[in-house]
Amino acid sequence: MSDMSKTFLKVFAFVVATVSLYAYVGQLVPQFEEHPPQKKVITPETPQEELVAAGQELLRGKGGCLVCHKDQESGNERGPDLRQTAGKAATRKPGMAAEAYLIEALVEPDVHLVEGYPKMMPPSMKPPANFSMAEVKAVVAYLQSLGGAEVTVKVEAADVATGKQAAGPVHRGKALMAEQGCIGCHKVEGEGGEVGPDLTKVVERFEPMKIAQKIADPKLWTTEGYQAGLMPPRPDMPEGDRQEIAAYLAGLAGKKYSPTGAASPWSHEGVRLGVVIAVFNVAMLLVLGWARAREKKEVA
Amino acid sequence: MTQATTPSAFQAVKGTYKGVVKISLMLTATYLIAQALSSILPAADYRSLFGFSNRTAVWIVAELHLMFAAFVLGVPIFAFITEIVGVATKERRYDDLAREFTKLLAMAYTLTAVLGCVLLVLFIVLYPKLTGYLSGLFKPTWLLYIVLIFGEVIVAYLYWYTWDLLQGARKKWHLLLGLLVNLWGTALLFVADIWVTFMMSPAGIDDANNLVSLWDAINNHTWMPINIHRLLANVAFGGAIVAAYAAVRFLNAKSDEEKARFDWMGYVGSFIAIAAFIPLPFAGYWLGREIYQFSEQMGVSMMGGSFAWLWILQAMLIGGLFLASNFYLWLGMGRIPGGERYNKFQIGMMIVLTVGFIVWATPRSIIASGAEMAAMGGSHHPFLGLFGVMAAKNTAVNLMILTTFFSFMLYRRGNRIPTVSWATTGKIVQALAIAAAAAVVVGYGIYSYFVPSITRIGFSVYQVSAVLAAMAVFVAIDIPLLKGAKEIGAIRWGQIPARAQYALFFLAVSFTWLMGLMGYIRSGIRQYWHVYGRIMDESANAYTMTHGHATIIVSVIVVIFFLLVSAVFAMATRYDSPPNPRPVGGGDGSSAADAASMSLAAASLGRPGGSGGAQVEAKG
Amino acid sequence: MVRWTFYIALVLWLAILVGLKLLVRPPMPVSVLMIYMTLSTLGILVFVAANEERFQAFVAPLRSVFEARAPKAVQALVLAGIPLLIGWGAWLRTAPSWDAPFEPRVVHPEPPSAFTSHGKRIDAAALKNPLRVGDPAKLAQYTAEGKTIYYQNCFFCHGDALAGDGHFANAFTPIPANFRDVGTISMLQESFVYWRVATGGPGLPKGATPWLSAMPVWQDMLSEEDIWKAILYIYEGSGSTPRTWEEEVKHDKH
Repeated sequence: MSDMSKTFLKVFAFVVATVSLYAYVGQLVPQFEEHPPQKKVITPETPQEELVAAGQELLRGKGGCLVCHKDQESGNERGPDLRQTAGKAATRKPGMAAEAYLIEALVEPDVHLVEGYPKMMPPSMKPPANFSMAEVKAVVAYLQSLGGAEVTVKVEAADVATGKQAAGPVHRGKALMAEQGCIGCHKVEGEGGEVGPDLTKVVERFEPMKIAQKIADPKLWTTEGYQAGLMPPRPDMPEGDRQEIAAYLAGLAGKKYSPTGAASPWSHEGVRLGVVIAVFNVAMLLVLGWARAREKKEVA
Repeated sequence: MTQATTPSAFQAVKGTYKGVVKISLMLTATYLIAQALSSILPAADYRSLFGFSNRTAVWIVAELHLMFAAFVLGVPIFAFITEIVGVATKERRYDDLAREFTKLLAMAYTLTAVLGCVLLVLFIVLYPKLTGYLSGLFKPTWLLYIVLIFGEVIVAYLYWYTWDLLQGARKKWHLLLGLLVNLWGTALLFVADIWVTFMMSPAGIDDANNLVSLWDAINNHTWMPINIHRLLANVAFGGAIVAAYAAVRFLNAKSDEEKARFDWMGYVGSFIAIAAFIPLPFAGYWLGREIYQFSEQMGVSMMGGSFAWLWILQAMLIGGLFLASNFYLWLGMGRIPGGERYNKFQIGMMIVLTVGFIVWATPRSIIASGAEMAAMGGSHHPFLGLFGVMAAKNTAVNLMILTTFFSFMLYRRGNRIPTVSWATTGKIVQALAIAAAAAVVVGYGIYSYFVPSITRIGFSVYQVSAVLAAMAVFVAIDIPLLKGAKEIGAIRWGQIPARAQYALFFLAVSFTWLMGLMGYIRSGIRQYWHVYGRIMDESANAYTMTHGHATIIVSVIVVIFFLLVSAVFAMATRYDSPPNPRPVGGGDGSSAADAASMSLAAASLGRPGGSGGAQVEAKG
Repeated sequence: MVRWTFYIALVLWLAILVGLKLLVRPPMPVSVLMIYMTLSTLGILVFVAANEERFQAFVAPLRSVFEARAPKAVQALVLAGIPLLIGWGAWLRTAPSWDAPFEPRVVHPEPPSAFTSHGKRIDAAALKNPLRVGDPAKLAQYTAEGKTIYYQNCFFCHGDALAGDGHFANAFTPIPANFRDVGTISMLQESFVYWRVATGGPGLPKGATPWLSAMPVWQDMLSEEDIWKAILYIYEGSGSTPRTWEEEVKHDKH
């Protein structure tokens, strides 16, 4: 063995020994893992008591309702006392059932205001509360239990998916559909044209991946009852953007779909990257040519 | 020193162009591989690496990339300074030393770049959703980053290839290149830090996480503190690695001349490391403060929660660094004629260092059995409890800094006897300055037990200022004092026991491990968030692992790093024809440096991960 | 002097060990003693090795033993002694004992950003003691009321002198907090103390485990105001002041 590898082995043994000492001390301190908080998921199978408890937690926590309302003796009175709402609900709007009224009051609070209170409550399915329908129903269950009324509200499978799924950081699908003109012909969430099929629940029929492909190549299929060849092919739309639209539509149909992130920013980036690489290479070549010429001149 | 041929401008440009071509190819390959994998693999928010934890994979690659990047960004800073020193003193050995530094750099670039590219692919493949979000948010900075990479590749390679070409009257152009390399490197670091710090302390986005202000997102709470912290740490880290390289070369040296050369290089490297290390705690304090300001919750989980245990590890590492650097200086005194005059101070200094270390390592939360707790009368020991608090630890560390500084000043004086007429007065003033600083530090340390915490926090500033002031006074007197001093004899470079070189390895390993540990804490305090408080980590790896597990991963990373570094330096050594330390000319250029070129570029590419990476994974 | 380096080092080491063991009262836990002795050993070895002359003098006796130049009796003593010492150490580590196991824990567990008290969600960062008023007369009155509350509820464990040595104190592991210790309430903000009182042992985070605190959940027994009054009293009574971060708020960046 050469001197060199002997030195190397000695030094390496020293490095490993030092590092092991540190790792050993790391084992001496208390050892525990900390796990992220469990998410409470409300499903159609959630028992009633749990639904009520979840509703109470939402109302006090995420919903921020107690900023204006009170659900016990002490509390704020900017909004109506929540202990009475369930009892009075049936009488508020003629022809409307108590449960339906409570849901409407949460989702579209401005539609029917209780006398004496200003128009100030934010719709609960939008930020800041940002409830899903299932969460709205949990709150209603809690309100019904508060008023002593029978808890009648039932969570349906469709409520579980948050309508806002698409509004996350990654999903810009809704804005893209408006920008790209899709809703000129298609109806989504009740808005848009009638030329093409309603896309709100389209993902129940087709995989999101297929939707992204169909945007680029409409010839893939045509929904019965609609004319083939009307939809313009958009292969020029970046892959990432098409995936975003697919993810948005998937969210509307209650499915989770995450664009791979494959191309989203990268398809644009690819072109820019190419330009940068080309510019630097050409510039360097020019300099190289100049240096060469200069050298030749000097030699001569 | 004989120079076969001085390379022409054409050759320098050609070498640089090779670097540009390599980085172009690397970037293209990275892009294509990432694209191909993204479209082949089924859609997912998270993917695992053939069953291996995606978090650990990204963590290891990111940390390795970060370490190499720290090296290639830190070394040019002091290579450039050394070169200026060489010009100012007209001493050739400084120029040679700067060139030696730069050679290491050129070698490390390739690996940095490769690691960066791998990291980027891992990010896109293993964390597609998060990567998609972040890259969308910071689109403009990515492009800037690529442009900066090319700029860095070009200036860094020109800096290296034109070293011999731009000598003499043309040296100023070479210095300009050195300045540019550093400006570019710093810009790269700042851009890369945007991504990491945004994940720690997001700003500039609305409730739905859409971008509102790009500048706010960039200039978030922790961006500047991290920039400064990393800049200093890079220099310290680079110095330590360079010293370790010199130590290996010293141990392998065949001739006395070679020994002397690498002994000196090791000394300079360790000096740079320690000098850059001293202000680091202040930068760290600023960072900690900004973290508290951004979120007290995050600050508390960093200092007071389960992560508190890791700070004890940190105390141990830093205490070890102090001991090792004093050990190295004292052994170095042995090669200075006249150095033995100062041996008498060593026992006192060692007592201060050991007691300081002991105070510093006293845990705040004492581990005790039931019987012991009963004997202590609670979980607090009435006497040890006094050492567990910050007031005692600040005092201890300030005294340790002061002692180490004093050690270094004695080393400087080693073989010299002042001849100026006021020498005695000067020495007395110096001694008084040190004593006054020590008195202020201890005085405030004791006083702080009697005042409320809000006042106490301010005291650490006075303590630090006293130490800094004493240092300034000491140096201000020392320079004129030693002017024209009588030399007892020349420093016998190369005559130092081999165990001193192991102190240099210890410094390098400890710095590296410390960097890995601090990186884990920075990343770990995000807990189960990708972007703190905004985007949750929903993968199976979102949990915070045990400290034992984390320290093992950090250790594995450090061992891999040293293996890679050895491989890189072994290559550098191979092209270093032994008798002639300056093998300029054709050979050098095309092989060793070549490889280097490639790396630089890459270095940059990967950076996003560097920072981001560590966090993604670690955090959970 | 230098000739005797090895023996001086040995004596010094033993002196430190004996000093720490016998002179520190109450005795320090083994874990701390281990840290101190490790560092002392390190300090001595580094000092010895930092000078060639000392180093050679230090290894000379060791060499003479291991190179079989020392008297036979000394060789036998060392060569037999080392394995015996190691064996003794191993026995000490593995011998069964009646002692309760070690409980590594964080003295100040991290508070949550928000917790529930009296049915309300409380943001810990913004929490202030509402009764810490500027008016000295009122403050004195609240503190006096707090004293009564303290003696009716807390005194039994935390003690008359607020030193964690009440009648029941020794029934618990860990024993109750000593408010006179500089490391307890004077290091903490009042919001932290409120959190610990209101949520008690069961409110501790998992990160602070294993923590078998017997502290009751006082929010079930005391009103919000009563807790704040008691907190006023424990600070006043123990002669400490709460930690505040107020100065820092002024530097807020955004």
